[in-house]
Amino acid sequence: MKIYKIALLSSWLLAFTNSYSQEINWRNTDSSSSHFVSINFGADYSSYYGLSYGYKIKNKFAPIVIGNDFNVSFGKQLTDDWKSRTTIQTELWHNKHFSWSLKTGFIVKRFESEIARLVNLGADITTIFGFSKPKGGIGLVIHYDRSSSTHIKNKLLKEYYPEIKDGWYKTSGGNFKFGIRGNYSIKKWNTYLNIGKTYGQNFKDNPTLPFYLDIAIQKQF
Amino acid sequence: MKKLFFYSFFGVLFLTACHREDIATPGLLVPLTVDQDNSIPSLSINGTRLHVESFGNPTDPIVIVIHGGPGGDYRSMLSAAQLAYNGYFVVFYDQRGSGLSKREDKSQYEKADAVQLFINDLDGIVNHFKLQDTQKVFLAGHSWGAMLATGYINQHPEKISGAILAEPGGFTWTQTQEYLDRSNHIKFFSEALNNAIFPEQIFAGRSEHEVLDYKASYFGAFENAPGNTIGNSGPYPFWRNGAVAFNTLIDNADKNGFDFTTRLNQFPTKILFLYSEFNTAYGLDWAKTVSSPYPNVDVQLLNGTGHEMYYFGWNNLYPKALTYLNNLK
Repeated sequence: MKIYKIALLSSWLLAFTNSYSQEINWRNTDSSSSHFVSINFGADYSSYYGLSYGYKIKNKFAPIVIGNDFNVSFGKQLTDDWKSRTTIQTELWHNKHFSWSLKTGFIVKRFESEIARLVNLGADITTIFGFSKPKGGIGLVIHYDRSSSTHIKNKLLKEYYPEIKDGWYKTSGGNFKFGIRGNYSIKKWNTYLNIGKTYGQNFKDNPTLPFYLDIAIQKQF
Repeated sequence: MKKLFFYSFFGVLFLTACHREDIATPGLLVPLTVDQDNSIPSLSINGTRLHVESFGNPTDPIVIVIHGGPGGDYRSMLSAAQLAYNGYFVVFYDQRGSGLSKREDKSQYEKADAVQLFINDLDGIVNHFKLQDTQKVFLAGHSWGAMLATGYINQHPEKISGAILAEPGGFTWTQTQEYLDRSNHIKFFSEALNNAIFPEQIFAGRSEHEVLDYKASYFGAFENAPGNTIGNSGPYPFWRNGAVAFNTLIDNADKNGFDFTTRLNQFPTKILFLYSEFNTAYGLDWAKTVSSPYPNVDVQLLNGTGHEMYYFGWNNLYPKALTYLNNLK
């Protein structure tokens, strides 16, 4: 029972202490900061707001930050649509002014409307290359996410089509994103702006809202 | 930690091992179409196979019911079958690539004369069901269906004895765009918009028609969400959203435009033109503007309903339609 409570509490904390874009300005991290807490909002398919948390693992080889983003869609129903992403990221290479970083994540999305309820599992990878200094920087972002499995529980559609099949479905597709990330830092505070264009993985069936935008404010300590 | 790893590892293993369906498999998430299920009533016309049903005596005056969309289906208009009890032969059909009709390749809707294909399909329906030269044919169109009916009358005025037109967006593309701008009023942070577009990130970058049609079910709910501009009091039943037909025809109209009014002055018969009480994007002024190319038109308000009046407002629509038809029978 104790383990169950700890697991539940950990899940809750993981879910509510992180953001869509757990960003890191690698040039503004120092040995005294291990924690990164962000709030963010934006539009990525739907409009959303979120929290994020990241923890820097100290080691001899490369800086590594593990974290979690949690987004909730705007709207009257607070908890019906959300996206949680558990990430691990590192800086692969840098010199005086340039940096190349990589982030991978495991994503859980939940959606519910009168039409159906969806629970989607997937993964993503993001790479950023650009100019980076302690006070700020700008970089090019390439992102790909792919759905792995989706559980569909049809609601209204079940009334209209009783033979419709609920259950687990294989991959339902994926998205590419190409954009720019800008950031500005003052002491232990960082701000991030992500903006770019979204494509369906086949570059033909693209979303109704083809752009994404994310603004985040982060405190490191 | 070991336990956490153990459960995570076997959880993922379980998920990947358990049976998962492919979302594009016909019949799993959207109904089968006439070419996939021979038990569905159909008719082969103009190079495609349409889902078609008829009610009443085939020698009675014909009423052809034309659904909205494009990409919709006639399921929500089936109340109109009641006209069969009043001495009319009522014909329903799902338009090309829509509802339970056969899916067609996107390229069909990309051609400059794609709308003509839909007018020719309707002509095929008229010619198929009209048994005698003296048999009268009436059109009952809703929304895009009323636009299509007008496009047909514009080309074949001699074949039609009357029409009931319910809230066509416009009879030219410019006019239709103006209406769509009003009717698709978007609130960026609303639940309705997010419910419409959030699933697009899950069903992303797959071109199979079954996937696109299923995804369109979510997007289609936007127009019926609480507070919608067009006054629908909730969702209404449908078989399948023809996503490819809808998206490609809208793009086509945006590129090539259309004008269904060029010969309407040659149609002297009175038209019954209906607009709904709750559709705040329509109204009497717009009804008069849109219907003005017809020389003889009776514009009437339908109380107690929004845009989807064949479903939510049939009890009020029925007596008006019947009176109109009986006067021209």
